[in-house]
Amino acid sequence: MSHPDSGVRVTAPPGVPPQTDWRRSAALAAVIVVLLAGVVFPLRRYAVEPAREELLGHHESPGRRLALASQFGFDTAAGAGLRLVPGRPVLELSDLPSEAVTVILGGFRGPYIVWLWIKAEQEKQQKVHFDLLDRYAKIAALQSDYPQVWTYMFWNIVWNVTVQWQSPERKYEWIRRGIEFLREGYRKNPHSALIMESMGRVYSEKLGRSQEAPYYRKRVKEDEGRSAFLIAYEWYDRMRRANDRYGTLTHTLGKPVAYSQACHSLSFYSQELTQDAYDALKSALDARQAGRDAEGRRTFQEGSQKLADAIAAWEWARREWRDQALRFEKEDVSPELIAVYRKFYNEADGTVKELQAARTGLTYENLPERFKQMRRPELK
Amino acid sequence: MDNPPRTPISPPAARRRWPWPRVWGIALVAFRQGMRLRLWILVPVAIFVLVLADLYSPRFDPVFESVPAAMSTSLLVMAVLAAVIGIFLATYSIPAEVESKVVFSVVTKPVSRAEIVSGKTLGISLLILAMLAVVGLGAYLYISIRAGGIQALAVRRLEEARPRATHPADLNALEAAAKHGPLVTFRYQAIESLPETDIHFAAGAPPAPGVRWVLGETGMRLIWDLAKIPVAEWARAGRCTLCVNLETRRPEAAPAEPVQISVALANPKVSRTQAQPPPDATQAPVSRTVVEVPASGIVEIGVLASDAPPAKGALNLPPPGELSLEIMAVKAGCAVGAKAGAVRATGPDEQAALSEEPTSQVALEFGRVMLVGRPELPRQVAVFRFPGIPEDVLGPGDTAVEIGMSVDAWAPALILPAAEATFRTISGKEKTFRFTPEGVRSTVLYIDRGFWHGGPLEVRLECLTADDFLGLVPRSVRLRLEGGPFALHFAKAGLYVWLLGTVLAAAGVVLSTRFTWFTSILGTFAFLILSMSRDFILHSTALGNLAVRLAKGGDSVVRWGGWLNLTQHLVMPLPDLRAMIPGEAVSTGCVIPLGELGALFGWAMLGVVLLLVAGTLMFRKREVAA
Repeated sequence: MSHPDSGVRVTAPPGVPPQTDWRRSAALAAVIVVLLAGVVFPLRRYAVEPAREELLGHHESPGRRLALASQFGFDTAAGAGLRLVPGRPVLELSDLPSEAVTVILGGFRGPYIVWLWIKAEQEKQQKVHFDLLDRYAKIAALQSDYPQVWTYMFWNIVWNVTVQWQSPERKYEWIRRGIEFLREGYRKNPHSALIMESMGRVYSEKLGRSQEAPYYRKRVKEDEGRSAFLIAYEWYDRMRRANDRYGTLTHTLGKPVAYSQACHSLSFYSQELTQDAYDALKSALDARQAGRDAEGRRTFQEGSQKLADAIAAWEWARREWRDQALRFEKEDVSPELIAVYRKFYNEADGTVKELQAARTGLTYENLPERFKQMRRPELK
Repeated sequence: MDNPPRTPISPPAARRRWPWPRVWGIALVAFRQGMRLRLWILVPVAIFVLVLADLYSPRFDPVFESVPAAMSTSLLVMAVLAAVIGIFLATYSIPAEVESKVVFSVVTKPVSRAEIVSGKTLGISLLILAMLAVVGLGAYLYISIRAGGIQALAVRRLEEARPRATHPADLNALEAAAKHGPLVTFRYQAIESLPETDIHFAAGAPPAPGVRWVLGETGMRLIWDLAKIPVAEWARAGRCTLCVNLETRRPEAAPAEPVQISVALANPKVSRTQAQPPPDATQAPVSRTVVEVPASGIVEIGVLASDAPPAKGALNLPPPGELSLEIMAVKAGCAVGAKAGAVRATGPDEQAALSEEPTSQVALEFGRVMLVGRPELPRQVAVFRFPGIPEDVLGPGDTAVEIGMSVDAWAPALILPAAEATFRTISGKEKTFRFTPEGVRSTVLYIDRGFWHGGPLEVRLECLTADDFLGLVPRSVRLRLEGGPFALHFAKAGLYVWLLGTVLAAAGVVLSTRFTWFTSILGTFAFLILSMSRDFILHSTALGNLAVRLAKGGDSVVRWGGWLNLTQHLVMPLPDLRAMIPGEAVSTGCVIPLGELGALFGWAMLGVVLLLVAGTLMFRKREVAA
């Protein structure tokens, strides 16, 4: 060992241990990390896991659990403290910056949020959008416990900002951003029925039935692999369950009206499948009339299968309408509302019977005659 | 031994001669005090915060939003830094010296209180400037590094978007970002009046010099002012006829049926709702009628007194006052035109009078000219005329024309609106671009120097999709000229922030000459909040009304455009600190004109001087000497 400047060789005095090199330090650090992980990881099972999973119904990664434990302490993380009442956010390591900023801002958080709200609203009016998502993300991160904050901004993005663009592609990109934004809100407020209801509404009304819906529905199928109406049903169904358990639907509509949206989504889903079946059978008929028999038969098989799927969907929708009607009858909801449920039940029932009749005995040979009796349902 | 006579340490005459060295000396002490307090630690913290805040911010469109957002974040962080130093150090400096009794050794020196207060403010202002310069440099480097990545992203996006673009011009902005990068600055040349409107006829249409045209279903009207013709007297005397000589054109594809027009007599000062007949009227007077234009083009309309019973082919007079004749074409694509003298009014004794040239009026909604879309010709055109612009004003490089508008798209949702812009030079050269108008983002079209290099320029806008409307305002079409280096632009924005810090520092120093540190901080915060919300207070309290009344009073004595500004400052004597935080336009690259920067500097310095005068007076009254 020599001094770099003097060139004089310096040796360690007798009895003094030689300096450890970086490899030994790294190995020591690794051992400590493994030991710590060995100590902490079992806590997942014995301390953290049962209470949180019971309360939140979520599986948490070890990293998230460590962050949680380090932030709240193990006893709180295990459900002993008030922070873990149902509906509290599931924190992840990615939340560290926003949580840190929230803590650092302290009392200045309020004025900062007010300023952000004012700027966001001003910029929305002036159609200055380069900072919009950023401001919304900051406000939502600092006020993440309020579902209304998420749904208000989500509404702005999905319904107000979108229509300022002309191309459906751009509009869809904004809607997609809005959905990502609200998903984050859902993660932070896992039991907010309001957030679930907003999410269901965007899939059902904006992506499913707006003017640009044919384009949106196609994109949703490409991106998520399922019908927009089916996704809407899932969110509405989740909303019903969350509200039944936690009563978090602070909606101006009554519960029967809000709950009926799930049933409506299924009816729309069924209509969409019926349209697909009708289109496929029409293609088969066109191919047959054009003399492309092989293609016609293949398309007919597809159409026939789609018709079966549509019938199954209508049966599902009928079951939903009936179950909800029975439920609200037991809950003494006003007869007018029950009558609405009955009306849609009858519609679904009638459609099931009509489609079953259309499918019975339907063959490639009798398609031209039978097709004349079919009608393409309109999404309404 | 006699003691030598005591010489005064600070001869008053010498002290007053030239205060600058003493002020500078105190400023340097204040600067060093800030450095001794290790305030420079805030510099890396600020850079770290701005980088982190920007990296964690979601963007919808990284190519066009990243640099404006990064600049906006940088300026916000710099403003906070300037405010923090301006408030905390300025309010700390003098109370700390009073507390530690250092001030005794200062005030007993040959320096005046004014020099102390000015020196402190100058020193803190210099400290803010130095720190902002370093933070600004860090921010600039960060933005420059990001810009490289954004340019590469723009190149990739351009390759992806090219096959899907509806019109080549839709990609202009992306092409520019891919070619020049996102660090662009610009300045505008705009026309401050609403566009004129015209009709674009098919190429084979015969010329009609001197004819003013309006097009059906566009809201355009031909208007004749009949104030100089005694129509009302003639109508009351028994008989009055208006004979209108019109020219008509119908679309080629339309069937050869007569063109219908809507004719109205109106009082421009009375709204249509006011002009409604009383509810007990047995027969409502007719103020508007639809007639067919015969092949001769001459339409005769009788004029009746307002209380006369309605008759076919005649109009009742509107409420008394001014009178005008309005004519619109009824059907889409049909055009109606008229020359000067096209209206001939005939009285009861066959006396006649000719009208002057008609004016045309367009549909206006909230101050916007509504340009109606039509796929085929004839079509409505909005014309923006730039006066002769010298070539040296244009700067280097191609000139961009930026077109911004609101789009009311009523066509089916999946049909994209389309618009066409035609540039026409004084030499008659024309260049046409088609593009997809966006209500949110303006469209940028480029004109090369070979086509236009200064002089008058006419920009004609048309909407090509049926049922769509383009809303145009005076600055909808602007020339976007190169604004110079981005670094200079960023530095100018930084100077704005420095002025904010300087004013706050002056306010802090002033308050600390009389109050404790804590009270001064609260006071400076209150000053900051009140100044930032000055507009809000003026608009939502009685102070604003008071200022308006005072301004009206002043204006009735002497006509002057600046009364309101003056009275607002009188009722609320606070600087407008919000003006010292650069707005969104600056973040997007619109350069701050030097004149504007100079004016802001002048106002800020005036405010600082006034504050320092107040501070000096307050400091003089304070007993700090032993």
